Amino acid sequence: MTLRSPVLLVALQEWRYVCRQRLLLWLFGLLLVTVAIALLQSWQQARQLSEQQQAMQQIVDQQWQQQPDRHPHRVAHFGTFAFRQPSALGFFDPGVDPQVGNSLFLEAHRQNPANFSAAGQASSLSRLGQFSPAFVLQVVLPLFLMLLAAAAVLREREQLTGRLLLAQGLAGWQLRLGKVLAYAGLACLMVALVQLQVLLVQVVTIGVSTELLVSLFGLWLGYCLALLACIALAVWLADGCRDTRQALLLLTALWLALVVVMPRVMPFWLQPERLDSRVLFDAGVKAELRAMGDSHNPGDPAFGRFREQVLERYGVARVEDLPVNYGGLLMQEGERLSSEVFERHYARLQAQRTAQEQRLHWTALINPLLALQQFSMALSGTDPAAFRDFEQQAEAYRYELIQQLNHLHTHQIAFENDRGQRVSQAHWQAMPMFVHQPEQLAQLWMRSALPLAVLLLWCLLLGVLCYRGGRR
Amino acid sequence: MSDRVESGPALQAQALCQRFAGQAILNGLSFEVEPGEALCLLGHNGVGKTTTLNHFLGFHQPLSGFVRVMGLCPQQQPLQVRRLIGYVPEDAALYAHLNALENIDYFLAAGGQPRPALEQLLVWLEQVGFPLEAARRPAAGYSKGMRQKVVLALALAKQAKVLLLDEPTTGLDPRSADELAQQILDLKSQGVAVLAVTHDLLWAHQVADHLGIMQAGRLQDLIAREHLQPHELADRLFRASGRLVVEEPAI
Repeated sequence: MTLRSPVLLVALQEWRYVCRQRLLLWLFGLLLVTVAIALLQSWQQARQLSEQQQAMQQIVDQQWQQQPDRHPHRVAHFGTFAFRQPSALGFFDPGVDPQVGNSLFLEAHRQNPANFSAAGQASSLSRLGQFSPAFVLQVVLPLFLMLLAAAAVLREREQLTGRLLLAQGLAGWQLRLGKVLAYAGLACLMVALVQLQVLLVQVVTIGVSTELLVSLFGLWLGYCLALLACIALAVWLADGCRDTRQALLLLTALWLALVVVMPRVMPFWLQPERLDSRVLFDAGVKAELRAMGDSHNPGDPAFGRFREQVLERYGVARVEDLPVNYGGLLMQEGERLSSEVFERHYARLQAQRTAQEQRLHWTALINPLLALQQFSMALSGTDPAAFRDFEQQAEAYRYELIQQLNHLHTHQIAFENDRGQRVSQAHWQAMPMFVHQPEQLAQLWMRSALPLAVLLLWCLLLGVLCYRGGRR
Repeated sequence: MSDRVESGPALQAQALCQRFAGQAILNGLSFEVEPGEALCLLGHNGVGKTTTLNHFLGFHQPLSGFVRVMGLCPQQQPLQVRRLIGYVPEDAALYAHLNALENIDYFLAAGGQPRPALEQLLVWLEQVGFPLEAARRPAAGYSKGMRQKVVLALALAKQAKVLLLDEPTTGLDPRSADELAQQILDLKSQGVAVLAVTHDLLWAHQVADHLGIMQAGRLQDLIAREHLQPHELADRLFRASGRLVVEEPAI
């Protein structure tokens, strides 16, 4: 597009108009200040959470290390905590993090749910929703830009300048796309200024990495595409509206539907079967575990077949004659089986969740702001998948830790007088503590690719609609 | 149809018909305007005068019949046609935050016309009688007459071959209306074809070569100006609209 391009000329003219409207400039300034406040508050919360977690991690590590010489299975039941490392961009878009919790208690025989969620610990008022830069960009800015873009189209019509422009030989699509370009440019600038604020906070606090810069660029791109879609939608609708009042009503209703109603209603509509609640999930797992038998009891008939296999493998007739502690072996087997039960139930729950999330992804096809929400959470590492990754890392660590302790039980504790014996604390002091590894950028991009493609599709579709024009 | 501007009438309407909401607005309208000629269309409200202009601008698609501007069809080649037309709407709208020079420059550039030098713009504004001291003030403070002069200067700047005027004297004081008439006569003398729709009979008589009286979507009378005095024109117009003719008192 050259400087002589009519589309660019219309856009430049609109920018000139905006720059000469003091009220609009104040509004833009106010929006930036609002984002800055949201950013500071969100960053403050993230910092507090991080500090609390570090302090808790130290206490938990100390408690683990300071356990005296004791029976390994007591250590397994003493347990420890796995803390989720906050995402670097969690303060920009907290996503589902405030709801899902940040720590898991790890112990033998059971997989506990996450706890200490920010929402759960917050006062009743702050549970209404976290104020974050992403909230402002996803909820407030689209409305603001949609109304401005629609007003720009209707102003040309109602003040009759549009008619005079068309009479000079400007095509209708050039006028519409010029307006879209003008406000898309403003949207890009606004998002860039917000990303700059985020970058500044990162520079001052933890420093900047290439990954962070790539993520920020990705977020800028995604938000620009979504806002471009909103602006094009507003221009196209305004072009077909009778007057400003009709456009204002239509756009406000549309904003309510896209931003307020659909994101809250869709998950319920798209849930043909309700997800198992945690209580139901636990009850299902417990019922199977009860039927499986008690691995604490070497004489439990439910493990009779296992005992026979062990005796046969070692070529002895009695468990007392085994060179290793049968109780420890039973614990290992019990842990393996209980993990299998849990994994099976967990996989079923995950399949339900994944199916629901996939259906939600499809809804992005009818709402670009849902695509933006999914994209932003995914790239910020605060979507449900990022939390599941933490759960899976923690479970893998828990299983490995408990089996190591069961191994100690098997080899360091004699079968006779099992519960009266202890092993040195040096064993668990040497065991590595859990360290959450946040997902790699490539994984985040893989999850963001689909909503980003949907946003691109929306922009293309609305670009074509704007090119073709409304009814008037 | 080729892009070439063909010889022949500058403006041509042939058996033009149009209906809106089931009501016939134009009903076989036909006329021609040669380069350097002016035709004023007269008639009561709703007779289809502005609709006729809109067809020449390519804003409407005829139900049947056709219009041509310098031999080009506005419906098929709207952008090429509009670049030949200088259009002065009833309410000459300008961008209030831009001054006269900026307005003309923007309208020209948006229409794909070459952008003239500032000095040339001032010459055109002066030609249409625009007060040059106001040329750098925002158009928000311009009177209707000043806005119309800016739009007329825009037509000059475009070097329009055809001028379409929609109720150009509405809201103008007699002096401004007379100045506008002089400018139209100047443009006519340069070969510009003029089509104006108006209710101002004196002004129409002043600028037009032919006066067309419209009734029920067609041209009821097409009269050469020299054959008609303004008061006769009023008489014809009243007859066309079916109203009682008031005899002019003898002086």
